[in-house]
Amino acid sequence: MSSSLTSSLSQSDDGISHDIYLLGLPAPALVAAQEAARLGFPHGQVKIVGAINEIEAGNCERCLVVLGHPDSAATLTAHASGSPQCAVVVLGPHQSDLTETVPPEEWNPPLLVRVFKSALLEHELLRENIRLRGDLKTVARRVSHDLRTPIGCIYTTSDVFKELPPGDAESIASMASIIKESAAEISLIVDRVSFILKASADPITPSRVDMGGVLATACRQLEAEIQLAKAKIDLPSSWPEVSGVSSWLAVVWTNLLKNAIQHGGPSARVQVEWKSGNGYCQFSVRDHGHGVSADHLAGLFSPFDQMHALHVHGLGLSFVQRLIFLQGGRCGYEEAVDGGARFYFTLPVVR
Amino acid sequence: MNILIIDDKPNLARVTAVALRTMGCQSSTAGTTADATRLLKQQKFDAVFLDLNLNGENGFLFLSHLVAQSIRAPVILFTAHPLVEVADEAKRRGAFDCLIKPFTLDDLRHQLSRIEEYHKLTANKPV
Repeated sequence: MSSSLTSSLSQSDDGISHDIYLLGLPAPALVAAQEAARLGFPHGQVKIVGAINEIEAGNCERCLVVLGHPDSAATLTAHASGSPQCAVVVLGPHQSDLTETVPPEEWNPPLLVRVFKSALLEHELLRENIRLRGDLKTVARRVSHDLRTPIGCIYTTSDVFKELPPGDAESIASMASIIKESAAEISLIVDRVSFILKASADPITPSRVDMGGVLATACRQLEAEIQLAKAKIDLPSSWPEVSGVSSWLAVVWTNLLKNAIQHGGPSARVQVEWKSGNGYCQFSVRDHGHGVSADHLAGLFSPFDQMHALHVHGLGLSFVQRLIFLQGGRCGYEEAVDGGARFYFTLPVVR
Repeated sequence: MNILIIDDKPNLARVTAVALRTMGCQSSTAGTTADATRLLKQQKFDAVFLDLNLNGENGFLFLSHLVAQSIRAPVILFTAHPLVEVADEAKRRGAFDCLIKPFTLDDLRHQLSRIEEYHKLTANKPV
């Protein structure tokens, strides 16, 4: 088992909750499943639903769905990119090739705890495998393309240099700046991609975060941009205790604040806020710019492992998505009530 | 010669412009197809260098659009993908040639001489 998975699973016992959906179960199975959920997943939420569409799609990756009939499993595991969307267990006499089926004689809570955990583990392994393969494809395709442009600039510029008249100071200065900017671009791409791959392959166990300190670090890194844009950043007076990784969160805040400064209009006023509920804290950055146009919404938080197949420019929000995912949270966007953009992410509160 | 460079990567457009200047050519740059369309209405160009991967825009589509407009200037497609399929598709859509990035000044010089030859031939062609 990879270290990231070990870490992810141990987190699930400590804090990150798995939602457990129960759908169409006969009474004895429902009782046994509820008891198993209570025993094995004390931090998880058990939700009894009447239809598949009541299962929240946004939480699918970390949820377990317990069904009474394999036909529902077939619908649920409608193979998006060849993998089920969530872990599925069927409690019933009907056998299924698609998913784990537990016959009635085995509906006892301690055994079901093991079955549920095993299904979640298998699902997470599958998802991780897909993510890692996607990462490789992204690096091979998108990033090599992104690197090719600045490397090509340096290559052609060096050839131009050879033929520039010695007295053409303006062109020489222009070419020199192209080399410098291209080298900086290469360096940025290499730094960011190696950072995200290292974080994914060798994750750090989340711990209690001093969010005020992390945000202060991000603001210091953006000092030049803040001054140039005459931006004003409003910070909350207190911070909740959440679980995360400080160095990753500094990258997350830097990306979100940078976007808000860039797109928040002249003398941007950027508000950082937080609220808590259901074991999570939601942190947000909002600006008063024009928001995100409808045709750009779909590609905002494109997962890094799918970037090879998407014509999306900029990796910033994709990095944010991956880093928050690795810390057990979610991220998203909504238009602020009175205009502007509001980007948010969630993290589990410290228990 | 007056060349229109259509590329969303400003540094690549800049270095191409300087390279063309060292060869005695003038050039204008456009970062989007909208800018390019505006410039094509304002000026006469002897050639268009069009990047295949414009930011969010498909260079092939714009190539077809230019060819459909019967512009006088031959279109050379900039591409970072030295694939036969790309070259074939470019030719099929009416590109004059492809210039593989990164390119050297000799590559550029070669294209310019071909463009010059093309204009000589088409200028002598009876209408």
